[in-house]
Amino acid sequence: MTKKNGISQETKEDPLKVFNNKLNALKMDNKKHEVDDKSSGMAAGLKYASEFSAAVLVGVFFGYLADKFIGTTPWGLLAGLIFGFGAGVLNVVRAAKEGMDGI
Amino acid sequence: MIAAGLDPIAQFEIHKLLELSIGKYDISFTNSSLMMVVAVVSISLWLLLSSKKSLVPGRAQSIAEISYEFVANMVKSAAGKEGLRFFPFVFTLFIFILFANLLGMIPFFFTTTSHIIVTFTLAMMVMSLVIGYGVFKNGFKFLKLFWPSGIPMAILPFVSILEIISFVSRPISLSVRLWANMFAGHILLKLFAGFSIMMVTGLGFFPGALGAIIPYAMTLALTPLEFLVAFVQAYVFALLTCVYLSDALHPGHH
Repeated sequence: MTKKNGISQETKEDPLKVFNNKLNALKMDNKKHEVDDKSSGMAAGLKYASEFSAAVLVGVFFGYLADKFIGTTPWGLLAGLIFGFGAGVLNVVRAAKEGMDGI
Repeated sequence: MIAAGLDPIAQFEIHKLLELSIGKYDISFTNSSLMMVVAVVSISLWLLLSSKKSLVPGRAQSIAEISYEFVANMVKSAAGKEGLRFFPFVFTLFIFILFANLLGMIPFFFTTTSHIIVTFTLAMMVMSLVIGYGVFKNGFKFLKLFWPSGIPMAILPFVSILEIISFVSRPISLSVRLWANMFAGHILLKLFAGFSIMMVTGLGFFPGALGAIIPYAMTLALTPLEFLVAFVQAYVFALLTCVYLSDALHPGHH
């Protein structure tokens, strides 16, 4: 009788909730294994710096090439610089969206 | 004179161990190539020796299995099930970079990944695979990557230019990130370790050793951080490879 009572009491405790608690505990456990590197601010800085500056460099390079082959001398470089800035911002936004802060 | 041998940049010098050349191209075997060979040999030894395939894995085998699962999960989550066909490539890349980074942490060893040309070559391998496979699989649809849907026609050309620049900048940012982390980390380590040596040689043992405590503590604190960076950067490189490969698999899926 007492055993039966125990079981029924457990089932009263909403099995879904129990399961949810277990799942959450497991999830928290798994989260610990993910790469956690908030400690390395330098890595985060280098990430955004490289994303941004790479785009600016590529934009300027394209502008320079356009100047060289079409002969629009200062304008290609300037447009490339501006587009490179834009692409750099796009890169940084994407890098931030990836949610890998500090990586 | 004190600073001789403490130059933080000297560790990145390339020495030719064996002079070789084909035509006018210099393909000498350098200390950098030696470290790559060491990395590849140690990886091969580890994988070969740990492939006894016992049901209850030993230490080496479970490390191999864990790293397999780690990379497989990464590929699956970033590039989907289809991405698993690139598993050998991503795994090779990850393990090679990881070993190159970690071997570089051993004193007096050379760090191959602290040279931008090495990381850039790796990044270009990734990008040529992305472009090659993307064009092979999707044909012209691969260009959808630069022509995102759901954007007003008026600004679409500009967005397209931004996308192209962003795409071309990927190998640069990918390689610079790995290189800069390894390069800066090793310089920092050498710098602080050098400070504590300079303190002792410059001020004598009594006040010098006291002054050396702070830079020594910094070195001590930076060493585990560098091990972490060595792992994380290999992980990031492999993860971004997967992200880019998923672009090749599903262009226009942004």
